[in-house]
Amino acid sequence: MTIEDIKKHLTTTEFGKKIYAFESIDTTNTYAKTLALQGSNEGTLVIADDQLRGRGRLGRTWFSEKGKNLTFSFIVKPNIPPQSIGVLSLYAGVSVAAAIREVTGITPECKWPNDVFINGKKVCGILSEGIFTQDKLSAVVIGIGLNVNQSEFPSEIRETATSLMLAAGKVFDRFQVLATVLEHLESLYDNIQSNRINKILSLWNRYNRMFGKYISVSYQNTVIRGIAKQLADDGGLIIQVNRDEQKVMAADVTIIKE
Amino acid sequence: MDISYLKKLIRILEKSNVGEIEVEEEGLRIRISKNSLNNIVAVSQPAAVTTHAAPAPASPSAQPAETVPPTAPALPEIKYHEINSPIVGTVYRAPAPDADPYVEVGQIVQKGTVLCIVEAMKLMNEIESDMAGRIVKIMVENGQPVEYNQTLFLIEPV
Repeated sequence: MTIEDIKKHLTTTEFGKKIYAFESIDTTNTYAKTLALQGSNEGTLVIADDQLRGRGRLGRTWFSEKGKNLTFSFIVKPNIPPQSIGVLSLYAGVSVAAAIREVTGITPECKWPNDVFINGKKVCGILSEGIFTQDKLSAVVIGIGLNVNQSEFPSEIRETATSLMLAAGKVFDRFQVLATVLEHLESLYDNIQSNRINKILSLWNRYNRMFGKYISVSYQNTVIRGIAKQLADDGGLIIQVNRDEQKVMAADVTIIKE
Repeated sequence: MDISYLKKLIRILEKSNVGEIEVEEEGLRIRISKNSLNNIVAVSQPAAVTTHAAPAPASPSAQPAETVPPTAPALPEIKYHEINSPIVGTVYRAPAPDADPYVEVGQIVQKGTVLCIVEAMKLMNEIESDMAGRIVKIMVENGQPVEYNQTLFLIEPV
């Protein structure tokens, strides 16, 4: 891929203004983090055809076939109070969901906090990393893996993963999809910068597929089960466990019963 | 901490003009005081030991502890550097469940060494040391939820 391939579709002003494109890289997040530490601007984009060490949360691997999908990271410098920092995950997920709806006509589903599904299969994973200097959030790198034209998945995720092509039955121009994702990321970002977090939460609610369902939430060593109720003001997930309500800020969530 | 180390501390205390010494090492805090038993100090660590200096040797040259004026300036309390959580979230002491922890007690870290990750809603935040020093105490367990500003590590500057 070339920077020209990418730029010719872009309609954003800041997001993607500066682009680092690679045929192959360890992970785009790590590169973007280094750039952020060196003072790169907000909206700087790092994109690769192939990630040698694409990763997810807690050291998990992200599979992506070379040249078929989008794997990229971008830098933001959000003016967000530390207690609301998790809202960035909802923001990224819902931006991708809105872009998918625009390019495919299919309404995807958001799973707390930041996964995007189509027909119950994961199409996009997001891993964000905060950079703190002296206890102050100086930048966040948001890494997005979006399956676009991949048709075959490794056997262990075949039942749980999908791509835009598998869902919509046609091939997409990856860079057109990227441009649409960046457009939604940039337009929703105003809500983060002006602290209109409720806007993000209510938009996320439109794509949510969990509320009212029986879910299992696993922490490091604990599993709790209950009904997903709603988002808390800070973006946390409120679960009803028997008669009590609990708020979760970091966990793996699985829907047990529709 | 072995007995000869304790004896050494006691000797240092006896020869000095200060009223007490407090040290903390690997979670064990010990305070040695010249004052009499009616002044036992509270210690907060579970494995802590409080001990008092042996009576000064009955040598004519030794200055009796009692002559230390009660208003003598105390040693400033040893204050370790705290690393606090900048956000609400869950602590991970290792990059992956089967990986080694980033740091252990006793380890020397540099400014910028990653000490742990605090996750809030899949936003992973590496917490770095903001000074060079030795990890004296780890205040959190892997997978534990933490509050804003909760202390994660105590570091002794080196």
